[in-house]
Amino acid sequence: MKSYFRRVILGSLGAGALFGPAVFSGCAVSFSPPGKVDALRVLAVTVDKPYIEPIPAEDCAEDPEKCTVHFNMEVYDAYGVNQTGSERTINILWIGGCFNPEGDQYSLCIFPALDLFDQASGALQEAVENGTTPEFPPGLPIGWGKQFSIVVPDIVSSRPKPSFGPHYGIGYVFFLACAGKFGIKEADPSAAGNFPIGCFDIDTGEALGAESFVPGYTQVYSFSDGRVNSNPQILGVTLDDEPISEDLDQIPVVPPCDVLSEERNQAASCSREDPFVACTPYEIKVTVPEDVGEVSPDQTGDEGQQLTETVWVNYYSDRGDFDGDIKLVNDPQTGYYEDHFVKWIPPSEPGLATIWATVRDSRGGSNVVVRYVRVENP
Amino acid sequence: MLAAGGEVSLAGAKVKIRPVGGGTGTEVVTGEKGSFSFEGLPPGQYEITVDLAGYEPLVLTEEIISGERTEVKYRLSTRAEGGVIDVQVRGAKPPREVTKRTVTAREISRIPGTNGDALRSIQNLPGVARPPAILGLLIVRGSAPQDSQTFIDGTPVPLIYHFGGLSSVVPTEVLEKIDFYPGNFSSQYGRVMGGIVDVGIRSPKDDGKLHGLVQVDLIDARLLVEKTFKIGNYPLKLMAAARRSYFDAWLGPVLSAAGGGVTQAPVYYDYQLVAETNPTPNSSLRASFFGSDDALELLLADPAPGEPGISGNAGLHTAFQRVQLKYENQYSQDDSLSTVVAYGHDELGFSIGPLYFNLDVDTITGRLEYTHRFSDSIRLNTGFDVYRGFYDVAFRLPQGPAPGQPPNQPFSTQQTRSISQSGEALYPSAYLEMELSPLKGMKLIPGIRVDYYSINDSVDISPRFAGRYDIRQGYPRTTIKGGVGLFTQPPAFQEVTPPLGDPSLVSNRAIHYAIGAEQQLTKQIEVSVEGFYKQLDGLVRTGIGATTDVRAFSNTGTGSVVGAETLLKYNPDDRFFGWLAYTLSRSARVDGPGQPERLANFDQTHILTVLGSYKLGWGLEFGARFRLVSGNLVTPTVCNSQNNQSRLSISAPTTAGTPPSYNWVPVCDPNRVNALLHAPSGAYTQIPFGSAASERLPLFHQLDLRLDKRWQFKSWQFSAYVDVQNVYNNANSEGIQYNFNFTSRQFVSGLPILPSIGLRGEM
Repeated sequence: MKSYFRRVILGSLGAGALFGPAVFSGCAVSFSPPGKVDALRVLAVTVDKPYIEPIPAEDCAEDPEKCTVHFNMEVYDAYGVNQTGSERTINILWIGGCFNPEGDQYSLCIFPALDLFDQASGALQEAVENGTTPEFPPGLPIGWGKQFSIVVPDIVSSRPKPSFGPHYGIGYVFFLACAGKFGIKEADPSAAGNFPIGCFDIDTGEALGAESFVPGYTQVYSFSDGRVNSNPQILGVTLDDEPISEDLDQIPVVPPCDVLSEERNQAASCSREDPFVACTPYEIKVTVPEDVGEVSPDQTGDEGQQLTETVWVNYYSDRGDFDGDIKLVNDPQTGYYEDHFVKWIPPSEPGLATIWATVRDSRGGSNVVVRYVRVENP
Repeated sequence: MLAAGGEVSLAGAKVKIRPVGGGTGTEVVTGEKGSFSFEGLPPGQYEITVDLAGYEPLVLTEEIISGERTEVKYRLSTRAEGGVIDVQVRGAKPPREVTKRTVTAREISRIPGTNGDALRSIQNLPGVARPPAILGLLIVRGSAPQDSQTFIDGTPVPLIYHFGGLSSVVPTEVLEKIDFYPGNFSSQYGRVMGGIVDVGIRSPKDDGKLHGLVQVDLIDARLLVEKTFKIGNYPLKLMAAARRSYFDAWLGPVLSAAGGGVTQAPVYYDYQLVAETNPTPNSSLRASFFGSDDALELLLADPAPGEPGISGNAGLHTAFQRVQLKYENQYSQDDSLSTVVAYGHDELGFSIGPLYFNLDVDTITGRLEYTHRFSDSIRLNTGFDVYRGFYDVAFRLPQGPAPGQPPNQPFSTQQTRSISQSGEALYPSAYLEMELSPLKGMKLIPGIRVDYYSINDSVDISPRFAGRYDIRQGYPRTTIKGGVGLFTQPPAFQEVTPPLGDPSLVSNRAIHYAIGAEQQLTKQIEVSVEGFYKQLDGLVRTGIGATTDVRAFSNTGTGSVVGAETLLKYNPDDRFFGWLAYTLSRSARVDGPGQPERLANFDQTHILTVLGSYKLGWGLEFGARFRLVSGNLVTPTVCNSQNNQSRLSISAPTTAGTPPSYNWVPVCDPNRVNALLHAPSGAYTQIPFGSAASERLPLFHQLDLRLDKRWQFKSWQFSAYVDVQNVYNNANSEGIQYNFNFTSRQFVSGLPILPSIGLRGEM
C-alpha cells in the first residue's frame, strides 16, 4: 500500500511538472486580435504620392496639382450605433502642414497641429451645432471627411544635405476619426506624454475612448533625385482560390461556424475546442502582381544585389476569425512570396462579413481592397 | 572530534597527518573533549586520516598556510548510520575583500527551489536581486547583469546559467567552493564594476577508491566518476563529469502540438574533466577541460504575430569551452606562486527568419600571482592578468529606417544590414596589493590595479582599499569592516568597434564604498550588516534618436546605488542550517546631462529571503524557502486600471471673472489616448504613460519546499528529493502585455507551481 501511494504521489508530481504550466496558464481570455474589427477602426490611409517630387514654388503656382498629395481613408465603425441606439456619425479631421521636424520626430508636429486645431475650433464648433461640414479659414492645412489634399512644396532644398545617404524631406499629416465632436483634452501632468486633442460625446460631452476615437498620422517623403514610389497594386481577393466578386449578388456563401465567439477568444493553451479544427476554414488571399515589390534604391544585399521593398498585407474582418492577420508578400532578398493567404472561419451567426486587405510596402505605400462574404445556414 | 548528529565529543580517535605526495606522518589521539593538535607544520597540503572503532573512517586533505592557524571540527558517522560527513573549517584566513560570502556544500545541495544547484543558491544571498522569470541573470547590488563576471577556477567564462536559469553551467558535484564578492573586491579582479563570482572546481577524491555518482531529475541527468592513481611517487587524481538536459524529450512534442514545428527542442549539456597531481608536497598541478552548450531551434510555420517577415527557423545557440592549466606552489613559508592559463572558445548565435547574429571568440587568458610574506604583519600580493580575444562576428539585422522608409513599421520589414568582421582585443593588467596587520585582528589591504584596453587604446588605474578589524577576537567575535575603491569596465565590443561603435569611448567607472560589521551571537548564529554606496559615471549610453550614426554612443551616463544588506545566519550544525537575508537598495541612473534621474531597470527596493533546512532523522531532511521581493520595473504605456487613486484637475475659467474649477479625476483615465495609428505601417505608436522604468510590478512572493530522503548502504548511498517551487501557485507578475492598439493591458505571470523530483546514487 505504501509503495502504491508513493507511486501515485510521484506520478502526480511528475505529471504536474510536465503539464502544470499548461494547466495553470491556460484559460485566460486573450486580447482581441488586430484583424478583428469590433469598434471604430481606420483600416488604411492611402496616399497617391508616397514620394513626391520636389517642385519649385513657382512651378507649383502654375500647376498646383503637381505639388498636391491626396489622402484617402478607409474607415469602418463596427459599433454603428451610439448608446441611444441612433446611428453614429463618424467625423474625420485632417491636420497637415508640418515639414521636416527636428530629427524627423513626428511628435514635434503635435503642438503645431494643436495650434492649427485652435484656429479651426470655431468652425468645428459651428459645424457640430448646425450639423454641417465645417468651413475652415482659408489657407489652413486642415481638412474634413474621408479625403484630404495638401500642397507639399519643395521640402528638400530647405533642408541641409546629410553627410551620407540621399537628400530628402519629410512631411507629416495627422488624422482623427471620431464618433463625436473634437475638443481639447486636458493634459495629465503626471503622464510622460499626452495627445492634446480628444473626442467627446456630442450629447453628454464625455470623453470617448479608443472604440470611438482613432487618432493617427501618416507621412510623405520627397527626394532631391526625384525618385517615386508607387502604391502596391491589388488585383482582387480570392476565397479558396476563387475570386470574390465585387457584385454583392455574386459573392460566396458559406455556412456559419458553431463555435461561439467568446470560446474562440480563449488562449490557445486552454483545453477548449480549436475552432479552426471544429469548423471549415477558408483561405483568403489578396491577389497582387508578382512584381509588386519595387526596387528599393540605395539598398543592396549581402552579395551586392539590388534589393526590393518589403511588401506585406494586413487582413481585417468585422465577422469571423483569422488564424493570423499579417502576411509577407514580398521579401527584399528572395522576392515574391506566394503563400500570403490567411485562414478564416465564419462567425457563428448568419450575416454579411466584410473582409479588408491592406497591402503595405516598406516605403510608405499602401492600397486597400474590400470584399464581402455571406454567411448563411445551409 | 565530534559524533555526527550531536555535540558528543569523541575521545580516543587516531588522527594521522602526513604531507600529500609523500613524507613522514605523525599520529595523535584525541583527548577527553575530542581535541587534538599538530604544531609547527610547514605550509602545504596534508592528508588527514581519522580512525575510531565503531565509526566510519575519515580521509581528507587540509591545506596549512604559512603563518596561520587552522582550526577544524570533524564529525564522524557511525558505521551503522553512515551518511555525509560535514566538515567546517574555522579560523580560516580572513578575506582580502570587505565581504566574501561562501556557501557550504550542504547548504548548496539542500536549498529549496534550486534543485540543489550551486550557482542558483547565490541568488539567496544579500545583494543579489531576483532576475526576471526564466532569465538566468546575475544582478548584484543594483548593477546591470553585464557588470558582473563569473570565473571558473580563476578563468572568466561568459555564462553562469543554462537556458532560463534552470541550472548552472557547472554542476554542484564538482564544486569545491563558490566565492561571491558583491562589491569592493580585491585588485586581483577587474574589468567589471558590479560583482564577482569565482567558482572553484574541487580536487578529485584521493583515497585510491573509485567513486561515482549518477543523478536524474525531471530536467537533466548527470554522471561523475573519479579515482586517484599512483604513478611512481606522484598521485594522479582524475575526475570526469557530464550532464545533459532531456526536457527536449517532452517539450518538443508539447511545442509541436501547440503548432510550432520543432527542429531541435531546447538542449543543454556541460562537461568537466580534471587531472591533478602534486609534483612536490607543496605544489599542485591541474589540467582541466570544461565547457557548456545550449541549443534551441524552432520551425515557425506561420509568421510571428505582427511580424510578416519572420518565419522559418528560429534558433539560439550558446557555448563555451576552456582548456585550463593551473599551478600552485608554496615555495617556502614566505613565498607562494599561483598561476592559471586557459585557452577558450565562445560561441553565441541566434537567428530568426532571415535575421541572424553569430559571434565566435577565441580567448587566451592568464593570471599569475606571487605572494611574499615580509613579516607576520606584512604580506604582498602582486600579479599579472591578461585577456586576449580574437573575434569573428557576422550578423544581418534591421538597421533602422533608411531615408524614405517610415519608422514604426514591423521589425521584420525594415531594411536589413549585413556585417561580417573580425578583430582582436588585448587587455593586459597588473596589480599590487598589500595585506597589513598593524594590530592583532586588524587587516588593512591597500591595492592598485592598472588595466590597458586595446579596443579603445586606453589605460585605467584603479586604486582600492579594504580593511577589517576584529574588535573582539575569539567567541563571540565582533568585526568591523569597510572599503573604498575604483572599478572600471571597458565599453562592450559593439559600442566601441566601428562601423557601429565609437572608438573614442572610455571605460564605465564606479566607485564602491562599503562599511559594515559582523557579530557572532552564538556558536552557530552570526549577523552581518553592511551599507554600500556606488557612484557611477562615464556610463556608455546610446544617443537619443540615433540610427546609423557611429557617434551615437557616448560616456554621458551617471548613476548611483545605495543600500544596506543584512544576513542573519545559522551556520550548519548536525540538524539545521538557515538564514535570513534582507537587502534594501535604490539603484538610479541619469542618461545624460540635463536628463532626469530614473530608477535603473533592475532596481529592487526590498529583497527578503528566509530559508532553512532541518534533518528530521531516518535520513529525511525538510527545507523551505520564502522570498518577498519588490516587483521589477517596467515602462507603462497603458495605465493600471486597478489603480483607484485620483488626482486634482484644475480647469481654466470658461468666462472671464469666474474662478477655475477643481475636480478629482482618476489617475488612470480609461479614455486616455495611449497610442497613435501610424497609417503607413498599420502599427500603433505608443505614447508613454509613465517615464522609463516608472511602474513597479506587484510584489513578488513565493514559497518553495524540499524534502530529501537518503538510504545508506554498505558501499554506496541512494537519495531522492522532491523540490516544489511556488507551492501556493502565486501568479507573480513578470511583465505587462498590451493589445495591438494599447487600449488594454494585462500582467504576464511567471512560473506556476512546479514540482520536480530527483534520484541520486553515489559511491
